[in-house]
Amino acid sequence: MSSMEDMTCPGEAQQWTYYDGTSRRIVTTDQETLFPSGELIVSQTDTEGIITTCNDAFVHMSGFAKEQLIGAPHSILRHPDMPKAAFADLWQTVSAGKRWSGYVKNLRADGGFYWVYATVIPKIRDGKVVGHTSVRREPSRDKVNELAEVYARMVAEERR
Amino acid sequence: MEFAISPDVNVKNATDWFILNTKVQRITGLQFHPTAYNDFADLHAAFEEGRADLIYANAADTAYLVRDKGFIPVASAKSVAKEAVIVVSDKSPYHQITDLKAPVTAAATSSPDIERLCRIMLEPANIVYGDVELSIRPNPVLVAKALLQDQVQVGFFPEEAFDELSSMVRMQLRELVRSRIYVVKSSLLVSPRLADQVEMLWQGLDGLSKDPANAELLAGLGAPDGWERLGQEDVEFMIDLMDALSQEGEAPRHRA
Repeated sequence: MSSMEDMTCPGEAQQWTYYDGTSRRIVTTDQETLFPSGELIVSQTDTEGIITTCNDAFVHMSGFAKEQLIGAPHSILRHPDMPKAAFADLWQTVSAGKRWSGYVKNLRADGGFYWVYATVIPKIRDGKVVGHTSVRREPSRDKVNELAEVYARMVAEERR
Repeated sequence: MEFAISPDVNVKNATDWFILNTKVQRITGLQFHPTAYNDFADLHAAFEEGRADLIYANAADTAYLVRDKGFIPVASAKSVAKEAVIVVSDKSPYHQITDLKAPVTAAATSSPDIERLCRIMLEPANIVYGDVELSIRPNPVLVAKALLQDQVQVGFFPEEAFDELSSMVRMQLRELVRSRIYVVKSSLLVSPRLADQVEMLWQGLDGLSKDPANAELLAGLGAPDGWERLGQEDVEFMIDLMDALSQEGEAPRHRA
């Protein structure tokens, strides 16, 4: 079963269209999973944003099975409360071979969410960018509260 | 050939590293001169002056040696990862990381990997690089002493060093958070001059791991389960991870 199929869990459903024009039914709830102190979520993607490796913390926090994550686009975690501009900035930055850091609200497989402080760096091998390494760590709650308001305003603006 | 022993390996077992040096000589048929460095400035000078051909390097030095100097990964301790613990005095008013407020005073031993892990574990309290006034102490017991004498608010410890403190000292300390990252490791590296010795060296180390007579030695080296092969991609991944964990304002301390 593809990981990008419609979500069928209980919650508020909406049709969501991704940057590449694909669309699926996503479900969201107000259930937050807090980031476990002392842990890191680590994953790698190819240049197209397809997940190639991930650690156990990623599996646990996202609620997906590892088999669902490997081979899926990283946008499987995209929460509708995140503004498109934030991801545009991320991709513009990492495509230029630079490091990007920011606070991200991610969508879980069960419709819940979790906040992270994410850093994405280009994966350079033999002088070529062959993908990206993404490391997510426990965010400051003050920053999360601040960014949640900023993102809500940006999303409202984008939906006008 | 020079065998450089980093200041942040288990220095109380320096003799074990000298024994390993002898075994490496037998494996390769080459003469190695072992040097146990007491501080990173001297070690980094050795890197620059080409006085390190074999080294068991922390992750920060591994990044520099592999990416900038062309060192080749050979092995790492099997099933052993570096984890860090942030600790306060038992009398401290801080019971969780988010109780802390910037600026913070901290004590630590000289171990860049542990320092980096601890600094990121302070981030949930909005404590960034410039908010930590860090003083380096010669050993973990003196980090504990700094906490007990109320000289600093928090202590940064390698997990195994904290766990090995005496029960009397530990009773007077309280753990705030412990990392569970699993991938930060020290790496046994060789210089490009030894590129054609990598496989022979690995085979020899693997043989050491399999011989029960070496169990005590391996435990002393911090590799109780023996060695595991460390490939180029394994080490590149760890370097990427450590790079992603670096904080704004952090000095590139691994360069001499």
